[in-house]
Amino acid sequence: MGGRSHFEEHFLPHLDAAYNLARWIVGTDQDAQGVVQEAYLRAMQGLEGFRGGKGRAWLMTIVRNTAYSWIRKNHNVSTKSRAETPPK
Amino acid sequence: MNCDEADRLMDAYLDGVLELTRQIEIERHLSRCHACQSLAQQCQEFRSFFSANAPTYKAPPELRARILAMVPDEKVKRVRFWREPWVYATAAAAVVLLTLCVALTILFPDNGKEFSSVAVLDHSRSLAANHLVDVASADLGVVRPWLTAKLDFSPPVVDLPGSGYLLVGGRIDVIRNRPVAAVVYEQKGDLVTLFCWPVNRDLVSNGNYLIQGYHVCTWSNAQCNYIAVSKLDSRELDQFADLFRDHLQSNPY
Repeated sequence: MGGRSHFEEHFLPHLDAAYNLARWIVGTDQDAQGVVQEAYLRAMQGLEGFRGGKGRAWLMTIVRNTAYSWIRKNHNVSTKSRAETPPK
Repeated sequence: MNCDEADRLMDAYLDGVLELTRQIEIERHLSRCHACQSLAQQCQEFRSFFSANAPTYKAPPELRARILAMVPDEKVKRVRFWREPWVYATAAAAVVLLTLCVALTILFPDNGKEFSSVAVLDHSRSLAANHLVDVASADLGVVRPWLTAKLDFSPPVVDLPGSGYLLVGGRIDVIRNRPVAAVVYEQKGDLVTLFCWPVNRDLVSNGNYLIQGYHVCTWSNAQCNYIAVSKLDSRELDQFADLFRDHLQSNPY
């Protein structure tokens, strides 16, 4: 597991969905791009821990968490939501 | 499952990303709890409304490009290559192969080069001392008996008609304290000395060498060891060796 082909196969197809989700949460294109990029970086670093299965859900969770962290850091607002809770 | 847990897992449930056991638990809870059931319905309605009305965005191409550029390429593979099972298989195979080579070298030493060095010395000495042959004749009927009489075996001396190689003659030489036949052939001024002696203790391994500017080709068959030495290039010398072997095969000596 790992490597370029694996990443391209499992995570790149969800880029639009990831961007869409980030855009809904953070609002602007610039911010959404930053969030998605950071989320993909985290996903890559955590790729070793990913053991197949629902790659999309795993990635979306990372995007969501990254987006909320981003909002907390940049706007200093409290965000409490069910969506923050990891699915598992 | 209680209502708090159901509430916490609701989004994941509606996303369809719950583990199977959790999914069954929440469904069982929903079938019994009206409050959670209506919460689930509200959430579902909101989701439908949201996906119908919220704008959808596509990732801009520059974002896609940036992310592709981030993807670890071969570098990561190289750094972590030792995690791949084939590395261990290859290493094991290499160790086995190395052991085998060492064992073979000990059991069957590559003696071709040692013999060749002596043969080259003999060949060059014969040229320097202007003592090319003891018996100068292009006639098999002269050279063969002469050599046989001086040696304890009858060396294969052959004609190679049509090949351009002419028999010059023969002499007796010594390789590793053993008298051997040295038969000299000539092709357009280039000399080939073919050393030959019976296989008894040593079997000369097959090989091609370049020693002190001379090309050397060594081989052996069931009867004799052979070392051909010449200034000819290695391809021509190989051709000579092939001619010689073919001739012996079709005209058993």
